[in-house]
Parts: sequence; C-alpha cells; structure tokens
Amino acid sequence: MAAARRGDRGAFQSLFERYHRRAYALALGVVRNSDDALDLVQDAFIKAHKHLERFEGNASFYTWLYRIVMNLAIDHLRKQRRQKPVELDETATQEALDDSLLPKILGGNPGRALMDKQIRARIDAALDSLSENHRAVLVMRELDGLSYEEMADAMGCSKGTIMSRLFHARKNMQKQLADLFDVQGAA
Amino acid sequence: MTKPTDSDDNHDLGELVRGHLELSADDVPAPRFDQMWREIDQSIAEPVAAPALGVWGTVTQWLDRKLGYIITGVASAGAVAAIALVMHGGGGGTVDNTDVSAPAFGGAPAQLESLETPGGTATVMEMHDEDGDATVIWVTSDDIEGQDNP
Amino acid sequence: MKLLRAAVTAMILTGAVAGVASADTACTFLEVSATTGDKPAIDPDLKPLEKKLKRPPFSAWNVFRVQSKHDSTLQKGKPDNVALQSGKASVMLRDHVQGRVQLEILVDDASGKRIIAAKPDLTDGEWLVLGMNANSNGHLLALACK
Repeated sequence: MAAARRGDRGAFQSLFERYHRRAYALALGVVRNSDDALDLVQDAFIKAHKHLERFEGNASFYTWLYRIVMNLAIDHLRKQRRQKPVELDETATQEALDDSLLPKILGGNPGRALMDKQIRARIDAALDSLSENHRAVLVMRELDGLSYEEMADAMGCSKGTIMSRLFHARKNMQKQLADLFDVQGAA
Repeated sequence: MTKPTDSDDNHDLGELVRGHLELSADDVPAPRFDQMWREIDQSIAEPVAAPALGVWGTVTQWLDRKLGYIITGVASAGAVAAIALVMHGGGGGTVDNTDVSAPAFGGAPAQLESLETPGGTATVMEMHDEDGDATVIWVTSDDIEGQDNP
Repeated sequence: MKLLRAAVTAMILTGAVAGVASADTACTFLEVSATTGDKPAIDPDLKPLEKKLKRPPFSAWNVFRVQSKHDSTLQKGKPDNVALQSGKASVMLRDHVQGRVQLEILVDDASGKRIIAAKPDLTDGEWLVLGMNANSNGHLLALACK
C-alpha cells in the first residue's frame, strides 16, 4: 500500500488483483447489471488511485475502496432513478412456491444450494425485486458484514433507518425464497 | 426437528446472498478484468496536468513511474538483452555496468545487445498496439534530472 | 545543406545496392520535434506511430513534426551517416537474419557529444524510437527497417 501511495503502479496493480472481484461483487449486488458494475469498479480504482494521497494508512485499502464503490453505486442508482417495488408481489411468491425447486433446496447447506443455477436465478430475481435502498443495505451487510454505523455513514442516513431497511430487506428476501428455508427446516 | 429461528434464516440468507454474489464475480472471465486493468493502467499513466512541474517535469515524473528499465552509464552484451525480455514481462530494475553472457531470445519483440548513454539515464520501454511494436529508449540528461522546470 | 547531402547519400546508397536484393535492408529514419500547441498535429509521415505518440511519455506534447526524413538501404558493416537538424546520427547494419535486423546506432548532439550508442536487435518493421529532451520540448529519432 505504501508503495502504491508513492506512485508504484506495480503495487497498485497488486491491490487491483487482490480486490477487483470483491469490489465487483459489491457493485453487482447494488446496481444489478454486470456491465454497469464493471464500469463502476473501473471508475472506483481510477478514483482510488487519483486520491491515494488522501488515503489514511491506518485503514485497510479495501475499506476505503469499498466506500468509493458504494458512493459510485448509489450515485449510479440515483441517476438511473429506477423504481423497484418494495412490497412483495404475493402472486410471484405463490408461483415460486409451486415450482419444481421445492424438494431440492437448501438442505441445511446454502453453499450446495448455490450450485443450482435455478436457485441462483431465484436469488437474482429476489434481489432485483428489492428497492435500491433495501438492496444496498442488505448487500453491504451480507457481503462485507458492515456495522449499522458504517452503513449509515455510507448511505448518509440514520442508524435507525438502516436497521429498518435491513429488517425489511431480509423479510422480503426470505418471503421470496421461503421455500428454500422451509425445506431447510424439514431437513 | 426444530423450527428454524429468524437468526438461522438470517444466517442462511446471508450465506446465499454472499455466496451468490461471489460466484457471480467468479463468473466474469479473467480477460474481462485484464482488459479493465489495462484501461485503468492507461488512465492512471496519463500525466496529470501539473503546471508546477512543467512539460519536462511531467515527462520525467511519468518515466519515474514507468515500469521500464532505468539504465545508467553502460550496459553491455547480454545484460540489456535480458532487460528487454524481462521488461516485456512487466518488471522493473536498474542495471549499471553489468556484463553477462548473452542468452538467446528467439522471437522476442526487441533486444538491445548494448546501450551506452554517457551523461544521461536511459529508460527503455516497449509499446504495443494494432499498428505494431515499438521499442522506446528515452534518455534523460543528467543536467535535466532533478529540475522542476526546464 | 546537410539534409541535401544526406538525401543524395541515401539515393546513391539506394541505387548502389539495388542489385543485391538479398542483402537489402531498407530503413526509414525520422527526426521529429515534439512540442505543445493549441491544436494537436501529427505529421503524415508519423501515421504508423500516431497511436503511440498519444501515450506517455509522448503525450506530454501534442504537436509532432518531422524535421528530417532519411530513407536508405543499408549494407552490412557500412555506417550510414544521417545529418540531423540537431546533431548527427550513424546507423550501421550488423546483420539481417530470420526477420531480425541487428543495428548499431550512434547519436551525437549538436556539440558533438555522444548521447546514445546502442546495438538493437529489432524485428522487421518494428520501430525504435530514441527520445531526448530539448529544453521543454522533445527530440525524437524514429527508425524502422525491413
């Protein structure tokens, strides 16, 4: 990191190699479009390099990069002004419960469930259905384990708002993926 | 059989979301990220407008950052050929009055069997694009180095 | 005058070795000034290098003018002297085998001081660009042989 701050491009490339996929996962989780997420990660690294001198050495580079990615992602969403329903579409849930995925879901092993493309498509659809704010909080929490304070800071709102958003985001996701959890309970 | 708690569900949901996004990141082909790095690299390599440095200061600043080879004085025989090869791989280093036996590098884009830059420091770099390859030897005069303004 | 002499030398050299096809190594030598102007400009002779001139370290400037151009056909072991607007250069073919052109290049500044002595081994058609500072401008010598 110190070498990168001195302008060593090789050192900065090492930081890129280390964190680019993680940053992409975060961006994708929030903006929900692969091309947009890739552009955003590229911009984030360029921005990080440009302002390396502002980086405080006592924090990890990723924490810092994380803030840049989140800021860009939130800006991106604001620009897009996409409106997603916050409330669950009950009809869609019922269809989901009726489909053939029911018997094979979690089985107490989320990692194994992720091997199933259909399940991953379901997770994608569930994430897409969340409002942008709910999704951003969920992704920050689940992907990187940010604290309420850190999320409130990143999103520029109160800790209470973050707690409320996270609660509703989880609730909506669990409703949409209810069958997965039901089967886990039965396993 | 126990009914799963909210905490269990939250944990599993977290696992699903995190795992799914990490796998999605793994799904992006490596060449796409390679391309991303090239574009980042090109972007951060562009000299930033720095009036205090002047044009020459900007160039020397860039050369300082460049992953090329800095050669002072005389580098002869295989030393420079080796430099050219390693440089192609993206490394960096300094050679001063080094003399080693010349290895063979068939098919390497360019080789320098010897290079002398009396009174200056040479930075050797290679450039590649669809128009072909070029080897650049940039000589910074010792009289110029260290000056902020030309 | 020097330019004229160089051009004549180049013509003589070209004609003199025309009959020795297998030994021909045709080289183009361009002397280029790199400056900064209000409007970017690149000399048509520099078209093959245009993309590279837009990248660092050359991108510090935006106007590239050919100050002198020297085409010659080199003969092995015979130095070809090139008069420059600023100083002089000498190019000698050491060998040309299997698509590789081995040269010896000497560049002196206007006061006769040696700036570069190099023995490059280039691929046919590959450009070798020698760059030097000239106050706040750049002084480039670009060479390609095949």
